[in-house]
Amino acid sequence: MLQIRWHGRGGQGVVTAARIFGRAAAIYGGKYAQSFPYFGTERRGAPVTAFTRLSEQPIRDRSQVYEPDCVVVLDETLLESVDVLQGLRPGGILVLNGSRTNHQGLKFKLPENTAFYQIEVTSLAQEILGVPIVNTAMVSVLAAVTSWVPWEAIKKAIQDILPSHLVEKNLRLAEEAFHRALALRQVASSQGGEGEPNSKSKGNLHLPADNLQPNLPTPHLVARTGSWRIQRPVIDPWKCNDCLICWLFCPEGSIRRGESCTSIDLTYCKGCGICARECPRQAIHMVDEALISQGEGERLAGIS
Amino acid sequence: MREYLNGNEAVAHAVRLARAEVVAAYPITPQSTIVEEIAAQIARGEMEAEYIRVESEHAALAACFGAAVSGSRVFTATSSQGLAYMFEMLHYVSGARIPMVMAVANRGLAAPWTIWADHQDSVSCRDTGWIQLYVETAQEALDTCLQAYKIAEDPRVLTPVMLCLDGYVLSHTEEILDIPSQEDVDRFLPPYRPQVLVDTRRPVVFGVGAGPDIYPSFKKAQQEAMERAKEVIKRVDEEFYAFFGRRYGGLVEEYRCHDAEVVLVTLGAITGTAREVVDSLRREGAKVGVLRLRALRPFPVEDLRESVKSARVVAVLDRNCSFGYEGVVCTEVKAALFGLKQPPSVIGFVAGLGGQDIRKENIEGIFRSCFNSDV
Repeated sequence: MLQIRWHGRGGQGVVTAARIFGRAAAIYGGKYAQSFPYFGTERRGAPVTAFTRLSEQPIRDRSQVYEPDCVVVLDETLLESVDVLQGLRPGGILVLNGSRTNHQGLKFKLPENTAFYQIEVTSLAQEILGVPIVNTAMVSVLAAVTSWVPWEAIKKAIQDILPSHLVEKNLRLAEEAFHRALALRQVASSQGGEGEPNSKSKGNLHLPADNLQPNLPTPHLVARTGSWRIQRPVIDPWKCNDCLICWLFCPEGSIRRGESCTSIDLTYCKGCGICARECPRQAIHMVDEALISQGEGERLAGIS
Repeated sequence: MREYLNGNEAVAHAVRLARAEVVAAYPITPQSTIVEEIAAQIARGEMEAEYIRVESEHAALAACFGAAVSGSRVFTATSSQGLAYMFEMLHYVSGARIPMVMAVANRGLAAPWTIWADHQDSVSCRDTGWIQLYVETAQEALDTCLQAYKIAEDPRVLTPVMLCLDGYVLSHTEEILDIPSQEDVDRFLPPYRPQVLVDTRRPVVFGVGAGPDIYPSFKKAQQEAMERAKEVIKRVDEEFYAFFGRRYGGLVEEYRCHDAEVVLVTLGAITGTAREVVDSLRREGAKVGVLRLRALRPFPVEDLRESVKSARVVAVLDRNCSFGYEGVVCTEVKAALFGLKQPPSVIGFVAGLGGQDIRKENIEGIFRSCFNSDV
């Protein structure tokens, strides 16, 4: 049995990715497959997890996947809020979409003998689809680096599952991503020894029934919805006159009324952009989170 | 046709194949995609049916009631709070002996609010006079939906069927299944021909008032129909097997129970995980088995007694709780075994409430604690 865990955000097609891979294996790849989402109560932008199981025998196990053989991450900004390595088996595979080279020592946390592949397909998706949706690209990347499912099977499953008007563009994207991934070298094949990244899964045998823990993507009773954000509002203090129109419109109550200047509570701001749209002085700009963490935020927001 | 679908889509295909003519439903997670898919099939012209959008679940079942007494095969689906909202109509439908099928994508009940799976919603409707069948796979959801129409419409039964599938664990999980052809289904399931229907030329009344003199006779008839349903459920499962090559044990499905010292009784999808555990414990030499109750109503007393006759301990895994007592299935099992000369001891486990994942380790722990118990 091979178990794959997919990480992405609501709206990025994570659940569809898990399904395309499963369908390709089950209908065109001669295997048994099972795919399922783990939905939270969240919406667009929230971390979403989905799973695919592949096997030569019928699959009866219906518990969640705790020790995946492979983890696919569709959005590198998730690394800051989600432990994507949780339970990853030694000798497993990590496939990451992103361009950043240093993810706070991600390489040092990898379980023993992890094959780590990193590729950047968001710009490719933007170019071909016009939107940063990378699910078909990442399914293809996984097919290229693992050979678990024949490439032709993936293409047929994409055709079956996507609405007809999206098929042609996505097949072009998938084709390009697949061929780029074939040339991909492992970023690192860790030898282990650094820490115990999958220790969370190890102590779990023979759990008493009252200790069961569902695999929650976010602890939603105390949801820090700021982790859902892929764009951040940045206020230009030179333009803002504290009129508080943004405060009136913010659906999350994330605008703070300060002594000197209005500010944003980034713990809860989901990055919906309503404040930027409603600001009468265009003092708020939406900036990609991925760029902000590289210290580019103010320049990109045009603030001098 | 070999397909890769989730449980909800499987049910939607079954409803199309059963040629349901009226579908009235109100959306609720995790059921919604069943009726969304049905609506899409009607819109694409693949299914000939009237889809009625209603303002509530209570209205959905009322609309189905009306359509059914005028001679239509009907379908609806719901979950959790929606089923709770239907409660009044559940009794109306079963009391008036309307044969219909309703899918329940099982979900826990608020508060605290949840969208995830447990059986509290349908188990709370145990006494509403509906037949309740719980399924283990998407394939079984499809197959049982077809069987359910045949069971409900059998003149000896005339009782509605609740088709229960675990929310998400079945409703949103894709797997391989076979979709039978329309021709084969038509041969298995003939058109609905009610014996009595609302007709302006020959007026009849459904849901009439009944005084203390005759009310009990209606209820006695319902109880007798439920008893007869036991045989009909088994027979329909065998007929289905003759047509399609798949069967599910009728009222109960045994897995390695014949010589088992410990038998775990389950409902629904968790049985698959339990089978894995049974196989691994059997490899260690432990005599364990799983007994899946496919029917909760009518309750399979005789089949249950037969299946656990070698058992020293019967464990019951309940994804529900009757607060102030224990898991409902546990109580049912105890009652069914009462009066046997040497009954096995029964130990109840409540787990998996509100979507809490039940892992292989947990089920293994249940078996081990039963072996270690002094009872």
